[in-house]
Amino acid sequence: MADTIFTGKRIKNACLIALCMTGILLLRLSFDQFQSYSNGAEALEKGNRTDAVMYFERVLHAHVPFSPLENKARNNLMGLASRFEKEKEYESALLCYETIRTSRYLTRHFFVPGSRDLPFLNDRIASIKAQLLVKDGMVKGFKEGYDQQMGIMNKDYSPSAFWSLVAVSAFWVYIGFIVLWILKRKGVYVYIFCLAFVAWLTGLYMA
Amino acid sequence: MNRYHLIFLLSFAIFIFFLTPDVNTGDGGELTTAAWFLGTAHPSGYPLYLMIGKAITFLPLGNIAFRIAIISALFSSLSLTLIYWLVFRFTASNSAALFSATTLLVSYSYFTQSVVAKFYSLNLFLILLLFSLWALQLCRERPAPGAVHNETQILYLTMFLAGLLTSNHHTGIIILGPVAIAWWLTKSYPLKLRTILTGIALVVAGSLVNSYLIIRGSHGHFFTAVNVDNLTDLWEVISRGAYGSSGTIAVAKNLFHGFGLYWYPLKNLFSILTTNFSYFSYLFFLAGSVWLFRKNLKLFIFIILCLILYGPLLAKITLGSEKKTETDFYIVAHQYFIPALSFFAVVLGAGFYQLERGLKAAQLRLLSKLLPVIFALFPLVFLVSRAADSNYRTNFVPYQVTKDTFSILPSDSVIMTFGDNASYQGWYLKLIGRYREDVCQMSSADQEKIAWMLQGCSRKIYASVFPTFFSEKFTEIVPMIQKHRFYGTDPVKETGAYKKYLYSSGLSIDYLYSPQDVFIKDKKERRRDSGSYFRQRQLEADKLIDYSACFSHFTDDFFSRQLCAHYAMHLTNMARLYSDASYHSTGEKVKVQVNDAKSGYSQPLYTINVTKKNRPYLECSDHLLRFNQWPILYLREKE
Repeated sequence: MADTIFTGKRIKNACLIALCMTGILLLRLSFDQFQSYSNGAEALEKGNRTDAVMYFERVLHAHVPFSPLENKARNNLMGLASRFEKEKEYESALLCYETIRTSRYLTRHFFVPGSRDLPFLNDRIASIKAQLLVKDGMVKGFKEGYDQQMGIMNKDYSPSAFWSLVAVSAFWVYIGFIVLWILKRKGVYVYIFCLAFVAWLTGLYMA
Repeated sequence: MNRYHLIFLLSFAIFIFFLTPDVNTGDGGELTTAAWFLGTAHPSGYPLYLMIGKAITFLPLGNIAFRIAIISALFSSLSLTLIYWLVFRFTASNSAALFSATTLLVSYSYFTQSVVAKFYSLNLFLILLLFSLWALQLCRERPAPGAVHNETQILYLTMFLAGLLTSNHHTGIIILGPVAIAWWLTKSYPLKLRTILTGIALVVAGSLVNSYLIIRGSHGHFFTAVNVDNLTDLWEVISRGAYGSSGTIAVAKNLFHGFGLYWYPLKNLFSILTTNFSYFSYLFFLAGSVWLFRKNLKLFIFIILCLILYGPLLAKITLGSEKKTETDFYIVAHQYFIPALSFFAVVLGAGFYQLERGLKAAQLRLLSKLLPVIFALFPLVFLVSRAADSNYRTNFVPYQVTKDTFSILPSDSVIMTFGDNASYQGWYLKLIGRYREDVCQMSSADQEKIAWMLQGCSRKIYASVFPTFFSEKFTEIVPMIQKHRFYGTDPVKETGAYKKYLYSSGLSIDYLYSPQDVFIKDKKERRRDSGSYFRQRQLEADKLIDYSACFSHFTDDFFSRQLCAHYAMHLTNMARLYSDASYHSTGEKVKVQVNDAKSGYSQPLYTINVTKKNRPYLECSDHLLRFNQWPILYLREKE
């Protein structure tokens, strides 16, 4: 088998390198979050709300799971949005809600982080847009505008996470076993390659 | 952990520190969107890159654009490690190998391509894999125990990698020329029919990655930058037939025409090498070439052949003109020659080995050991330069401009994005980020003909919101346009195909499109004064946009600088709004004209009364334009 390639020492080294790479990424993103959050808090203190939105958004974009700063940035953005709404600055409020929603979607992987916020955000976004559409005479009434916006926001055309994962995994098996066959020439690798290739195509088709 | 692991991890850490935090200009937005949706990118489709991209989108760190950019950092670090390993195998000198790696790491083009989402680092890694296999084969006097020593194995690996290369950037295939020569130089026995057939099967197995394009490129899929419905389409995409004279086949034909026309390509290539490695590098290159020639003639021929093919020959077909535009510098010179830079760095390592040998011969005791290490690490000093011109960590411009482009639009609007930057970044934000889903984004390459791409305005989603728009009859769209619902990132050009139907007026960082009078039935409605609407939207936009990203990026990214000029238009529009005497006139008057370099459009020349209210806008606009003027592009400056 592939025992001379996948030796214990090599696997240990690979794990160690992967760990170091994750550490490097975490350091970079945590640093970005810290810097952006500090800038955002400072901007908020000075009353520069546009800058504050921008910096808090950057905190969310530098997504690190379980980061306390992310939650604080999200709360600050929510606070800003409701303040804008109270001041009847609807487009600015819309910007804040859209910013949080987009940040969540831009940091999604198997699932959308902070997806518990999405129903509330969708509702606020649809409500504000419906109000603005009524004001501009684009729709007949609030309900029509609201339903139209909710209709758009409830559709998601992203590929299936499960089938995407099948396609990605099968792809690496397909490539890996061809290389293994070249190095080791075991007939069984050809069968695995064929199976992986079919699985890859199936994953791509179904995703 | 050994020294190779350390080289890899250190270079990876450096690239990650400077990595773009969000979407970057150029193809980044498109590649990211295509990877997320398992769609297709522009020709040649890049299925290998997209599969790697999709795998990395499952990483629960950062945003999706950042994750895709990690691919560049990863493969650049692997390439550097490979170069380190290879030079060490040639010279048995750590310092020489380190010198090659550090020199390449800090070179402007290599560094920049390692910190943005692009496929060039993956392309380079595949090229270097083949290069290393055959360079090693040429060096080998007898097989090392336990290593991949079998000639057939190497041939098979080569065939498989050749197949894989067809699924990434087309310049990758060039390496097969020198590899064929290397095989001819090393072959010790005639090929058996079985070996040939297995080799062909492996090329097919590698190129089967392109079947991705058939499955995910058909018309029914949500995101496709190119459609592949049959084998003819597949060939068109892989051979980049859509690019006409710039397509792979057409370009290859051009290679053998006009051998007298190599003067400017050579001149341009030397300019690129000098900019990236400085004049001093030629001394090392010369010393390295002589040493390689004397040590192993076959290896020398192989390396020089690689350098010639990825240098002067590639320059002949891509960078052969006397006068070069910013696009030539930024797109061609900055991206296509990364393999040439890498081969050059390998020879530099051999040249450095000569210096090291000289120092050893001088018998300076400790200095003989210490100086080579210091010299090998010395290039890292130039990281300071990269922090000033390629610090993509600070570049939020593409994301921010794109976001603001959408933010200022009224609900249920349509926006036309022109060119790669505006369109690709828009797709990323709108399709993955689902920003302003009420807005329909149509894309077009230019205004020469009316041709819309609807990736950002899928009929599935928007048919109910914009029913008249999908009727494809302009007269039916006119009422929607009259409600100020049609915008563009570029003005309607006088000579373009849209002029017959539309005219445009600058509004904040976008352009508002209005129908030409002939399409308006009610005469009272024709060219009505939109002054109050402009004023209201301009003021609203001022609350929504944030141009600070254009003051805080340390990159000489040509396109980011172009995008920033849009904010200058907004600022001058604001200055005009507040130029009335009621805003405490200072008595000064200034003449202001902003050029939108991307579309070639110049705002009219305005004479503006300076008031206390508009002075900050005028000053800000001036500073912004100064900070983002593009003649300081690194490659251009060095020329």
